Amino acid sequence: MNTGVIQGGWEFVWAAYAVSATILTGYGLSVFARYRAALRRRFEAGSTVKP
Amino acid sequence: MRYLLAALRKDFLLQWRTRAQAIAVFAFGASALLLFSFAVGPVAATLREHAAGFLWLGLLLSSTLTLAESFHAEAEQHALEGLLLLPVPQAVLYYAKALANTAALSLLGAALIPVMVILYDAATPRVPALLGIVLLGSAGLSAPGTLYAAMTSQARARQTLLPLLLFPLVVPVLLAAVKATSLIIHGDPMGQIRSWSLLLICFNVIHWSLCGLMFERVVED
Amino acid sequence: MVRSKTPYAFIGLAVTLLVWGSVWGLFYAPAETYMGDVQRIMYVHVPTAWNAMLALTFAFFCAVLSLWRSGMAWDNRLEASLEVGVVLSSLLCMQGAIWAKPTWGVWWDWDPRLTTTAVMVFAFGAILALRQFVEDPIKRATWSAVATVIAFADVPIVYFSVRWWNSLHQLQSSPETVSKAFHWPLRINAFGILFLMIGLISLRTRLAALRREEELAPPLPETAPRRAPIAEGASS
Repeated sequence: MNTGVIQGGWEFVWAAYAVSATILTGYGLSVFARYRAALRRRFEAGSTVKP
Repeated sequence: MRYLLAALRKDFLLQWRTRAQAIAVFAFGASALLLFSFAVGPVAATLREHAAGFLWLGLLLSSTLTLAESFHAEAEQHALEGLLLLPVPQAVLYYAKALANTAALSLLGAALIPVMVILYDAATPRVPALLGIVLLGSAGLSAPGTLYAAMTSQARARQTLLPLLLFPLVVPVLLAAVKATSLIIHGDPMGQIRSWSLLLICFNVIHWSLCGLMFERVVED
Repeated sequence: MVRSKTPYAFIGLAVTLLVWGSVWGLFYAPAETYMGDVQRIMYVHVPTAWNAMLALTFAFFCAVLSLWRSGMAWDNRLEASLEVGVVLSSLLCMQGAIWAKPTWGVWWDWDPRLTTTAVMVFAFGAILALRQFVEDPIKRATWSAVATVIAFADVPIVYFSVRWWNSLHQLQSSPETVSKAFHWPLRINAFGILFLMIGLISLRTRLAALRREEELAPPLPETAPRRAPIAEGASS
């Protein structure tokens, strides 16, 4: 095990940020898409409120 | 507390009537212990070192069968609703069932100890201490296990849901019981068994009270 | 009825803050003494940790209120905060693994906080699974609230037992002590993820409310539905 400063490691930093961005964006889009789909279903079932 | 005794009598009677199943569950647990040794390899030293872990994993896996079955009788023919109509505090029904499950799991654990001793060469002279840990661990598994068994007996996919819900919750029981058992088998130079037992007792106190409180909401209609 | 655009405002603000904080943390903050540039992962990791715990704590309060009060409003919020909390906690575990590899040489080092988070992902994820398999909305609300209370009560016990169990094997690392030079990007990202979480929970609560409506409301008698009634759990 080395002692002292860890050199480099930028690929891990990018990986962490990329994973975070992907998951948060993906989940956000998923919530949004499901929400719009539910609004559309309610409109088609006879509600007068437009999605 | 005659209600509790009556309910206990009912649950023990139910268990006695289904004792053939208990043998099957024991066979399941014993074969699990056998499979662990196949998975790990026939190295005696390794098996002995991890014997406690295998014992408790085997007991945990078998507990899903025991706990799931414990509400089987109540689920049939709406027996649960009949029980709830009785003028008995519903927590009493929970505690009786949980105590019966604790007894069943303790017996199972005690029965698996000889299997562990033989397969993993993990004997110990401190049998009362070992049985004490088995009792505490079984109680720890039974408290949330009985509550979730009551829940899942009324839901679909009950066989998947019970372990899925239970296993994350009983991680402290697994950790503490395995450590304590391991120290009993291998020796405890620093006297840590008491601390792990305390952890088990704390877990039991918290969950036996919390789950007892929640039972009424779980079975209400 | 006009639906408020507040969740979208929160999310927009959140994205702005996160971009600002991340750029600052990645390119302008100084490298740490021992961990070098790898430490920059902290600028997403610590905010995610705070907000994951916050989401699940909020879920606990929703569970208590759901048991205490009638109506489905708190159950909708419970569903939303459970889902967001599980997503954030899973993300936390992934970030933790990515941080651990260059620092400790292993993907998982059984750090008590991260291990407890992993157990929580399974515990609260199981409650989400429970919700999928229960058809009666009232039972579903009661059971998931009970399960959330018990799971949340278990978290400190899990943490202490894992910490103790692990302390017998290795010394603890703590990426938590952050010196002053690093505060600002951390705070900005923390607020960024907080606003993102608030926006996502609000939107997800609306989705839950719409689904309850579908389940509980009878079809309108005069208007024949143009589609067949929605089966329970049809989309997720």
